[in-house]
Amino acid sequence: MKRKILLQLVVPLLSLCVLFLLLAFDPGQAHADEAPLEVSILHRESDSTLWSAARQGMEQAAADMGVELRFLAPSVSNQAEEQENLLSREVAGGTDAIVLVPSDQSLLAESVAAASTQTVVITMETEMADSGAAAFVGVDNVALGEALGQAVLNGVCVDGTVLLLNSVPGSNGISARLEAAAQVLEGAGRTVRIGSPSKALGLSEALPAILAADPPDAIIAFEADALDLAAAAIQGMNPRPLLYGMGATDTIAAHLEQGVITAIAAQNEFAAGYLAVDAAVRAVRREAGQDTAPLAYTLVRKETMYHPDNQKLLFPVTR
Amino acid sequence: MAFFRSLLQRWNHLYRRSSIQMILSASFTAVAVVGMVFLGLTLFFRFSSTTNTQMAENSQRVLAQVNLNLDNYLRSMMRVSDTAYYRVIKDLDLEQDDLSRDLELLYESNRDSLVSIAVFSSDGRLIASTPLAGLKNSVSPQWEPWFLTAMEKIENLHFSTPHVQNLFADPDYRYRWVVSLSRQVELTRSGSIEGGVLLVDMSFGGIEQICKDVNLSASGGYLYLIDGDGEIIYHPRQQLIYAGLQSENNLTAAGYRDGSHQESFQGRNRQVTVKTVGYTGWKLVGVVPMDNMWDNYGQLLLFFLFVVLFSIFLLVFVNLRLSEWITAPVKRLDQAVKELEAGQQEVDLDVGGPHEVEHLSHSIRSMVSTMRHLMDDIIEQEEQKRRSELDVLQSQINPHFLYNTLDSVVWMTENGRTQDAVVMLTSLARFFRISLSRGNSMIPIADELDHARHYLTIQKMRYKNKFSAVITADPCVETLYTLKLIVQPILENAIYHGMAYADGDGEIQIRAFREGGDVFIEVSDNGPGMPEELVAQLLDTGAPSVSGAKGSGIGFRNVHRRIQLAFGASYGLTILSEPDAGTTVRIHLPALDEEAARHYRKEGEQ
Repeated sequence: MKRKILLQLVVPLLSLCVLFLLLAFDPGQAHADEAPLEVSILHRESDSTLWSAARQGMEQAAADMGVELRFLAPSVSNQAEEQENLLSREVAGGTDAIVLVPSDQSLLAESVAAASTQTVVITMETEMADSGAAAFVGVDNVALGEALGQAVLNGVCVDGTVLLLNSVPGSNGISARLEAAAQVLEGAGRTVRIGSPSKALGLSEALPAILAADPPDAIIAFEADALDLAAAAIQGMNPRPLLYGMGATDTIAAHLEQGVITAIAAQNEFAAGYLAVDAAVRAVRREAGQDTAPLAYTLVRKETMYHPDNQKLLFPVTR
Repeated sequence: MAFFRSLLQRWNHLYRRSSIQMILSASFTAVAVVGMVFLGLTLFFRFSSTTNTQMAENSQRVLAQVNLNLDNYLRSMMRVSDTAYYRVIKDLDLEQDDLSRDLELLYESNRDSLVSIAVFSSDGRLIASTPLAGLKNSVSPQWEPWFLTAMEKIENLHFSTPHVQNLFADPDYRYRWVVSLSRQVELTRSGSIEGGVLLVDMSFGGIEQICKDVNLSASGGYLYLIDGDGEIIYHPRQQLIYAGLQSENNLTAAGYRDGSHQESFQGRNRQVTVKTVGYTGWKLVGVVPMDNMWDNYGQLLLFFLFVVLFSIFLLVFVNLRLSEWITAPVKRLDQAVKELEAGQQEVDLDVGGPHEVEHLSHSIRSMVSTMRHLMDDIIEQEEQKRRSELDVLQSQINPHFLYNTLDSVVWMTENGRTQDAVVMLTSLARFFRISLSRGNSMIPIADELDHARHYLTIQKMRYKNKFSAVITADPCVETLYTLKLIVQPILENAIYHGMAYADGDGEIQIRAFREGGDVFIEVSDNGPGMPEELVAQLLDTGAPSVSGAKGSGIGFRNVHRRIQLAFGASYGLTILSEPDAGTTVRIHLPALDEEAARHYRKEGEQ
C-alpha cells in the first residue's frame, strides 16, 4: 500500500479509535467510584435526642453530598478529656473531616490545632478558628446571650434576681452566651447569679438545691439540656420563676406551650447540622463557601409558637 | 465589499492552483459534510424534541398515576370522614350515646393513615376524640383555620395545608405534622340538631408514602405537592426548604395549568409538569431539570460528533480514492501531452479511464497522427521543392557551356584544327558523361575533379592556353562524395573574370583536402581579384545581380544555393579576394562516404 494511502487511512483511523476510547470511557464513572468522604461527628452531649434535628440535617447533607457519617458522643456529657480522646482517635483513623461541638475550647485547643493539621475540623456552637478550625456553624453567641438578657428584662423588675445556668463549665459558646446575658442584666440593674453543676453533682442534681436556696425571679438556660432540666425543676415551684433559654426539642416546646418556659431562642437545628456537614465537605474538597454566616435565631413565646414559620422552626418535618 | 472581492480573488487563485483531484475531493467532501451535518443536526434536534415530548409524556403519565393514588388516598380519608359522619355521628344522640367508642373503632381500622378523629361543637367544645381524649388548655379550636373553613362552607370537605397538630394534650410531648380534613356536621342532642365540626387529621406520612420514590427521570427529576395557593404540602426536600437552605418555585407553579411547562428557576431550566388533584385543588408538580438532560445530551452529542468525524474520514478517503480514479487518466493524458510537447515521438496515449477521457485520448492520438502525417507531407513537399530547385539550378549550367564549347568546336573545325576539335569534343563528351552520371546528383570527388579537368581542357583550348591549371587532391578525399557540378561554375568564373585577359601567365589551382568531418575544395586564381563590396554581393541571394564583363555571379550563387539546400546553411562557398591579389573560392562540403551520400540522392538515383 502506498504511503499516501497509509497516511490517508491509518492516521485518521487511529485518531478516531482514540476518540472512541475517550467516548467509551465515562468520566462520571470514575467520580462515582470515588470512596465517599468520611466525616466524624463529635458532640458534647451524651444524649443524642437533644440534637436529633441537627443529626437529621447532617444525614440529609450526607445523602446529598455522598458522605459517610460517624456519630460519636462521650459517655458523659461535656467531658473535654473524652472528647479529646475521641478527636485523636478519629484523626488517627484517617477521617476526612470532623464536626466538633466542643465542651471546652481551652482544653481542646491543642487537640483541635493538632487535628487541623491532618484533617478538616468544623466546630458547632463554639467558634475555634484560632485553633485552626476550618469553619464555625452556629449562632452569634454573644448576640444570643444579649437577646435572652433583653427578653428577661421585660419580666424581671429592677433588683430582681436572675439565675444564669452555667451548664457547660469551661470556655465555650455557652459561657459566651452567659457572659453576654449577664452583662446586659447587670447593666440593667438586675442581680445575676450563676448556677453551675459541681464536680460531685450534675446540673440535674444540683439545680433543685440552687433553686431552693434562693429562688430567683427568672432563670436563663443557654442550651437545650439545661433548659429541659430547668423546666422540669421549676414545674412544681410556687411562685414559679420565669424561664428563658436556648433550645427547641419537643419537650421544650411542650413546656413552652404549658407556660413553664416563658420564651426560647431557637435556631434551626436541622439547618445547623446540614450546614456543618456542607462546610466540612467544601473544606475537604477545597471548594469556596466554607465560611458560613452566623445562623439566625428566633425568640419564640407561647403565643407565637404555632406561627407557620415557628412551626417549621420548632418541629422539623421528620420522617 | 473589498473584503469579499479579496476573498473572491483568493478563492480564484486557489482554484487555479488546485488540481482537479483536489477540487473534486474538496467539493465532494464539503457537500457531503454539509449535508451530513445538516441531516445530523436535524435528527439531533428532532431527537431532542422527541425526547422532550417523551419526557413530558412520561412525567404526565407518572403524575397521573400518583394523582390516582393520591386521589384514592384522599377519597379513603373522605370515606373515613363520611363513615364517621353518616355511620356514627348521624346515628347517635349525644345525650344518650358516646361517640368515642365508635370513632375509636374507625380510627383503629385506619390508624396507619390517621393521627386523630375529633368532633367539636359549633362553639369549639370537644365532643369526642380519639386516640387522645383531652384538649390542651391553651387551645381554642373554634379559631383554628380548619374549623373556620368548615363552618363557612358547610357543604364541602376541607383539606388544610400541613400543620403541627396542637389540639390534644400528649403525655409524650409529641408534635405531629398533619393534614386536617374538616367538615361541618349535624349533631343530634336530645333529638334536636345542632351544628358541629368533624375533624379527621391525616398522617402526613400517608401522603409522603404516595409521593416519595417517584422517579420522573434518571436525571434528578422529582415531584412535589402544593395546595391551590402554592403552599407546599409535600416536597422531597421539605425540611431544607423550611430551613431556608433551598427554595422552590411553588408559588409560580400554583399558577400553571395542567400540562407541561418550561421554566427557569435559579438560573436552571426545568421542565415542569402539573396535574391537579381532583377534589382538593392541590397540584402535583413534576420537575425535570433540563440541565441534567442536556448533560445526557452532551454524551449523545459526543457520540454524534464521533459518528460525524468517522463519516467525514470515510468520505474524505472515499472521495480521494474516487477523485483519483476519475482524474488519474486525465493526469496521464496531461503527462502524455507534455511529453508530446517536449518532442518525444513514442508517447502512450492509451490512458484508459471513463468514456469521456477515453474519447479525448483517442481524439488527441488521432490529432497527433494527423499532425505527423501533415508534417511528413510538408517535409516531403519541402524536399521535392528543394530538389526541383536544384534541378532548375543545375539545368541553368549546361546549355550555356554547351553553346560556347560547340561554338569553339565549330570555329576550330572551320580553321582546320581538326585534332584540337577532336580533343575538345572528347573532353566535352567526358564532361557531359560526368555531368549526367546516370542521373546521380552525388558523385565521387574524383569524378568532380575529373569533370573540372575536362572543362579546363576545353577552356584552355578556347582561350589558347592563356592560363595553366593544376588540380591536386588528398588521396583520401577523392573517394568521398560531393554534389556534382560545383567546381565547374567556379572555374568558369575564374576563367571569365580572372584568366580572360591573362597573357599565358594565368594560373588556376584546384586543391581538394579534408579537415575532420569536412571537405574543402579550393579554386584559386591569380586574376585581378575583386573588391570587398563585390565579394559580399556575390553570395547574397537578395542582392541584385553583379554587373560585369561576363556573367552576373549567377554561377556562384547557384553553387552556393545548391550546397546549402543539399547540406544546410553551414556549408557553401567562401570567397577570399582582394583587388590585384587573385581570388580563392573555397567550397565547404561535408565529408560523405558512399553510404552517407546515398542519403542525399534524389529518389530514383542509384
